[in-house]
Amino acid sequence: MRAPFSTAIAIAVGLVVLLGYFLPIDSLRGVLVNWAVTLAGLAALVAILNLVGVHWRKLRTPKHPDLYSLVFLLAFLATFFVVAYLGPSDPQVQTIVTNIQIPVEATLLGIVAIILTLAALRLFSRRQGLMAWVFLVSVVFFLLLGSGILGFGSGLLPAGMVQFFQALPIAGSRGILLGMALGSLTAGLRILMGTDRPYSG
Amino acid sequence: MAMADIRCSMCGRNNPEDLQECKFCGARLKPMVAGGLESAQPAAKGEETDWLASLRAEAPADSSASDLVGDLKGSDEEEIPDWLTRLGALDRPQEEGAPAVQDGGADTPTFSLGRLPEEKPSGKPEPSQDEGEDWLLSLRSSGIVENEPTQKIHPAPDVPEEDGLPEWLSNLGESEPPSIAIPAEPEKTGTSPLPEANLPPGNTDWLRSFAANVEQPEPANQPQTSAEPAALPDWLSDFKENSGIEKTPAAEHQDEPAQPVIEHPEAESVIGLDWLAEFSAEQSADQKPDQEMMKETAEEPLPDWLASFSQGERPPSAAGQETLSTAVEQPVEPADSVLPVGETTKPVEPSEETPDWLSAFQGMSEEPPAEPATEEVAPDWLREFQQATAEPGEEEAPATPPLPTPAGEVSETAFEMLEGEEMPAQSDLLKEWLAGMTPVEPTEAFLAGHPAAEAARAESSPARAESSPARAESSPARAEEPPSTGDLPDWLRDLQTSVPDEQAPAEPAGKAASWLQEFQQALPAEEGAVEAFVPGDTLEPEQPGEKEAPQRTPAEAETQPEFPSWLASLDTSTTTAAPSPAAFVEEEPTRPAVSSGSPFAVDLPDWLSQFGESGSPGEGAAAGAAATREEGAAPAELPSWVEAMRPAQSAVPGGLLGDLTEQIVEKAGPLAGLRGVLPGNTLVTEFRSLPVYTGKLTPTDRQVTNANLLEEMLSQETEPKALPARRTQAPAIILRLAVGAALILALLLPLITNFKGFSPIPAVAPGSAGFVDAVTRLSTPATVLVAVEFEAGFSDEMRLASLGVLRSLANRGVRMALVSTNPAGPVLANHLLAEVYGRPPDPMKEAVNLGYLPGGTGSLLELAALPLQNVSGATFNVSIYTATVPFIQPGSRLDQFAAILLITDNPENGRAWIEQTVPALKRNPNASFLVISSAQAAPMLLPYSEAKQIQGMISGLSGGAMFEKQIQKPADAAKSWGAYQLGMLVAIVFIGIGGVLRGLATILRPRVKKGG
Repeated sequence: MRAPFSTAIAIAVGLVVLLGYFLPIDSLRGVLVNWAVTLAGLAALVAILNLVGVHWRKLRTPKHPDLYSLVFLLAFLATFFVVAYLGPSDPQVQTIVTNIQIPVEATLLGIVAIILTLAALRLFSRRQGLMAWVFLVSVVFFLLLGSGILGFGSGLLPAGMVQFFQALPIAGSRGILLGMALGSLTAGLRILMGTDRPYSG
Repeated sequence: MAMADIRCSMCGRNNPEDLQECKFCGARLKPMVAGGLESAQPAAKGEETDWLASLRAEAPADSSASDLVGDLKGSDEEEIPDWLTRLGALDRPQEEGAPAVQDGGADTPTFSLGRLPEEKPSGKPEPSQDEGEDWLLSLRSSGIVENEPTQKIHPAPDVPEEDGLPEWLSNLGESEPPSIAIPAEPEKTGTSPLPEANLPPGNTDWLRSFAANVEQPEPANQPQTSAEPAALPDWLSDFKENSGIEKTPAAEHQDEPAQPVIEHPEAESVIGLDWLAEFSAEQSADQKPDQEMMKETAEEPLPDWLASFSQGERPPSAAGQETLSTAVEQPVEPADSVLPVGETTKPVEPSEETPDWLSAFQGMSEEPPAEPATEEVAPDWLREFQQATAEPGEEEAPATPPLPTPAGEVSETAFEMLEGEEMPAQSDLLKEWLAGMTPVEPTEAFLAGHPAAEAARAESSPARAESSPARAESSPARAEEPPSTGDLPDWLRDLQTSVPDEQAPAEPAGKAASWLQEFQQALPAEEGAVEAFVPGDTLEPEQPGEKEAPQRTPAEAETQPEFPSWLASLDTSTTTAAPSPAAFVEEEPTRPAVSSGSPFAVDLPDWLSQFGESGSPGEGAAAGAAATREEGAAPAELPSWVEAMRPAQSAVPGGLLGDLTEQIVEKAGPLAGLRGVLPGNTLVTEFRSLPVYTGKLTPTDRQVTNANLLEEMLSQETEPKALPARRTQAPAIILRLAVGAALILALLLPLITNFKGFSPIPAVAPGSAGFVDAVTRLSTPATVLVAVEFEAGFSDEMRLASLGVLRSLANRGVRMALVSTNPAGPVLANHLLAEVYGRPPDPMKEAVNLGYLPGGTGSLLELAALPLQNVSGATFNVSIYTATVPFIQPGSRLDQFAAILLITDNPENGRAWIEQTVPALKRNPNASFLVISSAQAAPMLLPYSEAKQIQGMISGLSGGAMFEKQIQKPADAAKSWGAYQLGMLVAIVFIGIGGVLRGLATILRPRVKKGG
């Protein structure tokens, strides 16, 4: 058995947290969850350091130095030092995030909307068949239904039919949620039983 | 009368009798007889032929001939043997057999070899056969008397002689001399150096050979009797046995030279032609006019046989048949005691009393003595006779000396000459010939060994020294002739007497033929014995002619069924008899003898077998020589490997060539009229160029089609395929820009134009009813925990969806504590609060931003389980706010909040919040869990709403617009409703247009079958 010690720790921590839902052992469970959240915060710091290191290597590439990496590094350092100096609750810091990050990300989502429309336009040029047609019809129908063009019970379609068609995505999503719950349960059980040991490297 | 074949002297093949020319070579078969036969036929019917009449009429006028005959006759009268005298005295045979004999005698000139078997009836009774044998026996006996002293005559199988033997024949046997003493010449060899000096220059070879055989006995060491018995049929053997003649050692010694000669089957086969061939050859060589030759002949001394006639040889005993038998067994009296050395045998001149039948017989069988006169110009009848007697003459005259010219050559020359139309009349020739005979008459000295005669004989010796095989072979037969020739033929007698009327009227030819028929019929009866004898006679393996005999077609067999076997053997041997004269003469002594180991020994008669057993030492050499001849007999046969190397296609088949050659008749030149004599003319047609084989193929249509298909496939494989043209990026970019521009325009236009949309904002949305109720129930001093769990990109959607709710809460004085597990969440929360309040909210009274909760789902668990100040991640912020915000009590938990409002665009975050915090929140039964989600995450969270795990939920712009519509405070969501619908409609239009176009293109595009 490889890495039995780590496996035993993983199994023991998992069992303790699980039992914390059923047994009044919140203090022990809280300590373990607090360690997990701290380690997760450090993991975000490590991820930030890894991101800075990647762009630093791209900037130091002899032939083709990535200038975008240089921009990233400059923005990172400026934000880090400003937020570190001003604090996260400073309105100047809030303005920087609000005026830069929100429009950028919102623009990206707008482009996605255009790209998805164009992809739907070229759908049949790349893939043809029954499912393509089903997909096309579903997209068009639910776009119309979601847009409210068809109305929400007081429009072209009766309310019952609109509710029926609005409940169809809920049914599908519930099935997906049930599957995800079963998958999460199985993964937890595997880890608790030691069958799946992602921590062993 | 059955049809018989006539052997062609040119090609040696048999032809039907009725043919005038050989069907194979075109040579005339009866050049001389053709006219003679036709002319002789009437004579045979009672009319005397002109030539014979003239002959008889002119014979007396010819003094030389008459003198000769007269001398002979006169001399013979004194020394005529008793047996001959008795023969002459016996008229009974003449009476009984006179018709036949005289017929034969009268028709002797027309007697031919070809007719001999032809006239022989197949079913002739034995007596006639015996008669035929008898006269031959008489001849044989006389011959034996002269020549057989050197032979060992063994008793032959008994022959029923007494059965059909006529009295005349019995008397003949009684009157025949048992033997004739012949002077021995020890220096004589097989080559027979003839005492030519004793022969007249004009004499024929047979006469010389006869004289040689008679006068020049061979040394005793020569094989003597090895072949003579072979050359004799049984009936002759019987005769010898019965004749009682027994050779003395001296006689054997004397006759030795003649013995080897008879051993040659080839010679035996051409006996009858040898002298004629020689005659013709010499005639052509000498180129002398007939008249001159006849004169010279007349001046020449008498031949030996005539000399012997003149000397009147007498047999030692002639006392009947028993006496003959006894005499045969008795040793023959030494030649020296009978005749002086160098003297020929004493010819027994027939007496005048010789019966006609005997004369006729003599005229038929002993005609050769008259050949010397015909050497220059032989009459047709004589030639025919010679041909006729050639084969039977083997038995009749085994002691005939060898002729210098090969038989084939002679025959060809003779017939060529005879074919000439300028041939003198037969009667005239005969007259001249007979006239030439007369000078022989006074040659008593020659007969007695006169030097002049010997000198004359020597003149012709060089040519005769070239003894042909035929002549050499005929020598034994001729050696036996002297006794028979001793009986002067009738024609000679007739010439002597010159009394045509003395003879019976010319017998019809038919009668003569019948006589011969009887004689010939008698021969087949002996076939049994003769056939057994013939192989032994040849003492050689099968001759080609013998092999051909059984292969004859039935038609051919019918044409010559009457050939007795001995004649057949002679016939076949004739075809193969053409060795060089010198070789032949030398080979004679080495003639193969019958050996006990020979495969043919079983067929040999007893006497011949005994002879074979007691063969001379030269038999081995003779066998070797025979083998050599055998090898030489087929020189044209190429070895098989040579045949295999010969180009098979280069020559026309020989049969065709042969046919073509035989069909060509020379039309000009000295060979005019001859057929097939120049085979070289057809050589052009014999060879042809080799066929040229080409390698050009001739494929079928299917093969051509397949080849074309294969070629096309190969060409297609090598042809470059054009790659599909790559589409340019321009249309895609244009389309993308167009779509983007259309969507942007659709979103801006409602905002600009204040477009309210295609439909009103919906009043109710799924899950929205509980949400509105829960929000509306919140009021002041309630605190709501707001979880800001969305990204900056969804901030616009989430802002429009949540602003109405937050403003509603803010309006009613509900305090809000903002928290987020997203790092950007606290900033977005501040931005959101700023929009709700239009300013930064008062943390102590309105809303406080608790900050970020690190650790994801773990932090939510910690938030739900621990007091707010113990929350690790939020401690910083919460501690800040909790320390300063009075509405958050220290050590409070989640259940102190009246509601948790989750603003999220991520279903995972919504699930985590719902699953981790709802249990802790439910500790306050009035607390509610509300969700504001994006349109994207709504379907995933609606189930929780439907399950009542959360109390209300709104999603997207529509949810915010609906909430605003419900609280009747239209806000930003209601303003964006028109832009939202138009934008969605444009997107739907683009997707629809694209789908329809592609669908039409797919429908209109011709389908390509898979695998085609």
